[in-house]
Amino acid sequence: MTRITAAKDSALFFADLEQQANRYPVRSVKITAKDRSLLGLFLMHADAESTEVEAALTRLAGSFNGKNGVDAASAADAAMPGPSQLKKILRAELDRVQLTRLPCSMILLAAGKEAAPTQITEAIKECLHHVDILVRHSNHEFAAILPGTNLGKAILRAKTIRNAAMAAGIETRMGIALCYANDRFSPDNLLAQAEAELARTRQPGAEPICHVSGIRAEDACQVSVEERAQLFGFLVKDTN
Amino acid sequence: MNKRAETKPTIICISSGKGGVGKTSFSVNMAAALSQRGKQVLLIDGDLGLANVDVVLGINVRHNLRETIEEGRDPAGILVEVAPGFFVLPASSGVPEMANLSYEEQIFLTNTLEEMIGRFDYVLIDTAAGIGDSVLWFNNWARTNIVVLSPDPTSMTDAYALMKVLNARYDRKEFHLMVNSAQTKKEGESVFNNMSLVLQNFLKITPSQLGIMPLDSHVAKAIRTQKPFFLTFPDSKASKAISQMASALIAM
Repeated sequence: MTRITAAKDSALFFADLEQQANRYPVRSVKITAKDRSLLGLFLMHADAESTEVEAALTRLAGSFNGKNGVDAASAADAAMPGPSQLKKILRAELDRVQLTRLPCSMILLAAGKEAAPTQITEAIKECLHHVDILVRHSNHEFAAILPGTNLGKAILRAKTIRNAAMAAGIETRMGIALCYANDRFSPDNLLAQAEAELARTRQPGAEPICHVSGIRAEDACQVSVEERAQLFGFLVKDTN
Repeated sequence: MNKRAETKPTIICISSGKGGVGKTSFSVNMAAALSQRGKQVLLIDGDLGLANVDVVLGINVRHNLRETIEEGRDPAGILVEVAPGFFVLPASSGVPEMANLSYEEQIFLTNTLEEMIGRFDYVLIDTAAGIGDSVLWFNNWARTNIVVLSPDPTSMTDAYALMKVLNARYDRKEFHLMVNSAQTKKEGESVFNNMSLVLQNFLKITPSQLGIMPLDSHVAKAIRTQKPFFLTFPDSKASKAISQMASALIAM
């Protein structure tokens, strides 16, 4: 299925994004060309400090100007939010979980030290949807925040990312955390959960992808034997 | 999402968990009953991949929600007015991709629908069976949740499972139960009372009884003739039950 938000339909996509932005704690600024045609939309967290915004814009402009010989991958890497912004972004996404009541998953990805960060982002960028957010956690660790994604879909996405990285010759390990609206997690909770899962991948014999238990959130809704017994109890009585 | 649902129009989601318990028949006839009372009603076919509101109403639709999602067609342009004040937003049938909308598509559809529903008094959503993403998402978008069930153990289990998921994941606590195909009023009351007891015991939820729809041969006849029984057989037992439930909805 094609989506209305395909890249070629950018005007509608930006209009939709701008509309969405009004519902969240972000500021949106239209970026226009000299002939006033729309180039894009710059979204900032409403709490972002002006110095941080200026620094990010400078890095972005530098990347697009080709300063220091940066290529497309490093431009994307330069524009990628860094560790200092991770918690702010998580806070906004967790607020969105409360608003939409849809889950949010986070994949904490650690890549082999032999791979340059730009190589890693280049390898995995095709695996991310356009609502997903990739944040640099440290030099060789990245956090992929996947709004609206439950555990099953996050595991599939992690496998896709791992396959893409392997195809580029990069070894990866991943820890997956999950937040449902009723969990009321803070960014620290979610990050700690993902870090614990990533730590599990380092244990001898562990799988390269570890994730939180789905039982807590997903099987908690399963109808129990006791519930079934009460649901049908009256039917048996009526038959008698 | 929830902020919009608090204001006009009243968005009502009709689900059941199990298929074939009469959601679509109920939705179509309730929409007819509300519109007959002078209300502007929009019925959205929420079974996006296997739609059949158009089949039950006997209308031929050329455009549907698939075009809104895939091509950006204005949904106002695909509305079909089937009776004065009774509009249908049809969906597609036989399109598996529509049954599994992505997060981005869900957000896009919500925004698009919210832009067009302001002119209506009531928006009814006839969801798909099951507890798939679109069913949960439509239920979360709506302010009022109606659960249709029948005196059948599988229907009761599925209706309960649906309410359990909506309660656990979406913090929903208010459900209006409609017991369909009850052989007698007593049987319908038993089904409601028992479901109510289980919901209170396990989920601490007290549902309300929207109504009991008696078994009525006019319902099957109307489905075969592709007309709402409320319009074709206005004096039938089923139509009287729908009329009472429409009054209850308006009084909410």
